Amino acid sequence: MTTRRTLLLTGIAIALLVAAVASFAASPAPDGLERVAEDQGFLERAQDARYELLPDYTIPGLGEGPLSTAAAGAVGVLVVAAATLGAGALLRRRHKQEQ
Amino acid sequence: MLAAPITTALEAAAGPALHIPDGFLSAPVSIVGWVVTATVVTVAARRAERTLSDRAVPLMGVMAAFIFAAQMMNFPVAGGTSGHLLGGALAAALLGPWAAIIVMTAVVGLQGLLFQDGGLLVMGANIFNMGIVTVGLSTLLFRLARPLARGGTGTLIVAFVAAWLTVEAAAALTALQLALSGTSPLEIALPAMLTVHALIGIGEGLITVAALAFVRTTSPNLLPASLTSEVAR
Repeated sequence: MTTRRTLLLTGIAIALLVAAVASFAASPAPDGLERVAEDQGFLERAQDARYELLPDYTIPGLGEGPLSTAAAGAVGVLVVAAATLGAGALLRRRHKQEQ
Repeated sequence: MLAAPITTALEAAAGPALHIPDGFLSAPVSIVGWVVTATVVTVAARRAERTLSDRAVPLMGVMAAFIFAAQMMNFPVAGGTSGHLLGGALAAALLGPWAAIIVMTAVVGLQGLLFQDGGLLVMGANIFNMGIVTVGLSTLLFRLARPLARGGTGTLIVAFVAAWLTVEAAAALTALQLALSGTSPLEIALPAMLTVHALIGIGEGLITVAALAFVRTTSPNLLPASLTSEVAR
């Protein structure tokens, strides 16, 4: 149990660190698909999102700087981890019920 | 003179990765993407349910968190272009295919839902390209190369090659979907996507190898069995 908790806490700490570093160190250059879309002239076909929660990895109200991205990234890390843990736990419970 | 490139760069940061935005794919291609993805994820959930150990659940959470964060880390490649990790090969190496598909689905799904990174109509295609194909192809390659991948340097070389190929496969599929949607002809989209992602794939390979080497050093019990065992954990 302790080992599992250590794995979880260490792993999430590493993920938070990576998101924080990415918030100021990530390259702002267009990525592969966007580069191709731009070069081939179909980038303007991209539609705006239907709604915006944390648009472009920023927190609305905190601006578009690294701090806003780091905060949005931290939210993302925790939500993604929680959702996956929830899904994993659900699958485990269904497995135990079937046994 | 200086303002224009900076503005372009800021706008670019807001753009898609291999994450397709809504508008690039036609309705039929988007619907097929959703149907295929929903089917595979359902199968993956059933298979994961049977094979998942209690121990694997926290690792799933950690892998999802790490892959999400690592996907934020765009690295520059040649020609003013950037790329980022997809993570399918890494997830497959550590979790086996079924749990890895669940992890990749959570990452790509929440990127679309929360961060507007990747469209909602095309989410099925995005999960298929970046999650299912990368996990499936790398799992196949790990199994084919099992004699070479027994936990040593061979494992890392196999992982590098597999990771590189998963990016090319995802790029090729994206090009095919763009062509089927009438967005860009295949003879133009395919070579363009394969060329730029050949470089991005090197980054995928390096990060995958670095992460596996890190896991091997810090928690060796997680690595060799999963890359060499018959049954996915």
